[in-house]
Amino acid sequence: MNPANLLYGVSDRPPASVCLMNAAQHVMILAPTLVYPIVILRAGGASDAAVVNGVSLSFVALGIGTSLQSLRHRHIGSGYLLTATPTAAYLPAGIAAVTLGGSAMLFGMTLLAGLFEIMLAQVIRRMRAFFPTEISGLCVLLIGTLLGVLGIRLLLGLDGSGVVRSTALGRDFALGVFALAVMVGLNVWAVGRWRMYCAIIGMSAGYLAAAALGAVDAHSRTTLRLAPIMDLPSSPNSLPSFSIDLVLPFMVGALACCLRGMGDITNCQKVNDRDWVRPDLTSIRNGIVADGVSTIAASFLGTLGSSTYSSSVGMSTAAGVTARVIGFWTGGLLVVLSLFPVVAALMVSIPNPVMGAAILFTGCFVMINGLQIITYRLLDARRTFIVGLALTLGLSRDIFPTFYGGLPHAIQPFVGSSLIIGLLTALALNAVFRIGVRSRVTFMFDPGVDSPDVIRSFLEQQGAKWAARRDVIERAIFGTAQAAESIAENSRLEGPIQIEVSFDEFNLDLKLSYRGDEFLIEDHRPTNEEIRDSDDGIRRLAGFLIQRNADRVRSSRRGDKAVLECHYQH
Amino acid sequence: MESAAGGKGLELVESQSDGVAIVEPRGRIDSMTAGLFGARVAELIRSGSHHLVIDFAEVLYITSAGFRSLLIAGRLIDEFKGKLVLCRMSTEIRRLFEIGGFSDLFEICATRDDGVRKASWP
Amino acid sequence: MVEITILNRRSELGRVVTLLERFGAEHHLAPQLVIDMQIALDEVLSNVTQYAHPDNAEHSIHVRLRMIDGVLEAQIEDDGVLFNPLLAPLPDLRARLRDRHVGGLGIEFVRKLMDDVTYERTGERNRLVLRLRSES
Repeated sequence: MNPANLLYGVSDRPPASVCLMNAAQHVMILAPTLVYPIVILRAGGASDAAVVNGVSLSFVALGIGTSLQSLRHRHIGSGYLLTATPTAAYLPAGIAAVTLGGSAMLFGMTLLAGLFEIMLAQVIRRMRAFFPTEISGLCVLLIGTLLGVLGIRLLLGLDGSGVVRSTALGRDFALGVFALAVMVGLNVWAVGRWRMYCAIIGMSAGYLAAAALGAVDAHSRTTLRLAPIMDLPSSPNSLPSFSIDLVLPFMVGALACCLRGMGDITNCQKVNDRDWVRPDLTSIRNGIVADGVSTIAASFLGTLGSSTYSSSVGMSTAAGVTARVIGFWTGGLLVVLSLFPVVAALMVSIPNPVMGAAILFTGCFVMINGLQIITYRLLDARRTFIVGLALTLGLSRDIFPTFYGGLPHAIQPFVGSSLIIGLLTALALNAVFRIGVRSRVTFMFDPGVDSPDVIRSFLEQQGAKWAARRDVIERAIFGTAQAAESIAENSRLEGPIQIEVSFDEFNLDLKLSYRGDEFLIEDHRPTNEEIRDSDDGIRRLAGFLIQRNADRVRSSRRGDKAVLECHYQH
Repeated sequence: MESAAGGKGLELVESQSDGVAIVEPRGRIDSMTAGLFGARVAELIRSGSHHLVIDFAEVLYITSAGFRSLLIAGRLIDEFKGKLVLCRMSTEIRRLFEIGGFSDLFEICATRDDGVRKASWP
Repeated sequence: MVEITILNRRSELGRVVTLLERFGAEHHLAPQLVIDMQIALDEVLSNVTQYAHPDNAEHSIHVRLRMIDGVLEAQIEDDGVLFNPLLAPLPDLRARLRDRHVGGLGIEFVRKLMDDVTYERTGERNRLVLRLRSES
């Protein structure tokens, strides 16, 4: 069911012009993330031409990755418009790799990371309890804040420790704000095409303004001038090499990509389905596999491993276009663009403030989506701490970079970014907090003595502990209260009713046991006259409501007790 | 002008707007409280409020007894050739009306203003 | 004229850049000129460090900078295998693909930037000379 704010939903086939423009937009917002392969290339001592060549190869890798992600194959692809991006998750590990053993080492270790990610994808299903939805939501939120901070950093020309590197701070800031204002203004006030293409318009406006103000640096301009219009990128052909020291950082990177992918794909599902209630694990698994294969392809092309691009979900949401065919258009466009080194040079030459504006813009949507996923479920003390502590620790990574930088070398892979810290904290706390959460609870309810409010407060409390969906708990509250009321009135009840609640990720079950007559479930609705004028009418209405309210109801006799079981699908 | 009356489990808040009486039950409408609810609504109708809006915004749930009192109120207002409108139901309450087969029996709308307007027409 | 000997490691390339910057300042050369030569030297030296010494041992590379008649000239000498960093396009596809593998784009850059490029092999040494005319 397509939400109302989408112009083109995931299965739609927009006209070619819309596909092309949206594909172009997705490519443009990838531009800022090219900073990661550029950093790796330079760390490996690449010349300008080699950097441009490497960026072209990154296009190929991302083109493959994006296309794979849009597939709806049985084993690969989530089937959503979700672009691939070179990811910061592998950046520290990647730099270590090229320093240690050049491009051959980057190749080998990235290859391993991709394989590991594919393996991880297979166990997500089984590890469901250890990867609850709110952790994926936390992942998306952390990425959103990471993007926001990166955007600000690029906007203000700061380096890693917050020192101003820009030589013309006022001008750069104005450029960034201008580009951001164009994007945000169009997104808020414009309609139709102007709103759809706000990012591309904003970045182009920013670039033109930068060129006019002389904010595009000489090196970039020269490289841009030199780059041939069309050329085949040359692929490196070294054999992969490996190092045991780098295994952990790359595995952590793969885990981060896996979790980020889970969050992004969950986000896509939510954005595209108004009736979304829980993540579709098959689609998630296949999407992670696509990302793993994409990373393997990147390794062969000598570039940085990839993950799913959270900003692309933000972008599609903002533009109102989420059609999966655009994934293939974007993939194809990227591969075609790899044949034009001048495009790579152009992307590399986009001034930082303009890149920062684009990242900040899409980061906002990502942040909010993460928050929505987290708060969709009821939160209790456990989950409050999991989300709160993980978020704060994660954010502290960006606030106190010197502290984290000074930690022992062996810990570095675990504290490489806010995302990694936040995720590892959340996963660890979640595992610890699983202690003591019983999946089945019983309480006694005496209709003569206890107020029905007791049922509500008890179920709400348990629901929070289990992080159950609000709407299912509401249904269970009504069903139980109505059943208790009806039993008390009509079943010659003796003594209290024993109410047993049990829960797992997919099932909420309520069992009422009592001394008295068996409960009568009604298949047919009594008529209005019967309801109005007879007590039996009320009884039958109650039986009817209970049956329609739950997903499955069963009334039986066990020994001297009558038992009513209501099953609610979660 | 507001007035409130009620016991444990249900509180009734009343007000007036454009000649239409508005009743806002707050809490549960079940076997314990349906009697109170039904009695008050009947009293209002008999004393001249033939255009009535019931605002469900603060209703936690309504059980079979509650539905019965609504049916009774509906018939009473028909006798007086008046109009009864229900408004501001939560998704859950709306769902209860639907599975119970009551959503076609009553006029239901989203906001209180809509309710007052609809109740004012014959 | 200034000269410098560096090892065939990428970390050494920075020393050449610094040398060139100082040379440019001393001779009051236009900034764009210095940048162009920087880029060309970077490409050439990258290729040399990557491809000229298949034995992966330590070798030295000799770089010389001088101004002659308003022309900025850079000479790069190394003792690696026969390696012409500016291979002319070869007629058959297989050779061209091999050529591709060896820093294809970088060659384009050097050709476009420099006014003149010459290569010769003397005995066991490669020598490449880059010339760029300074607008006076």
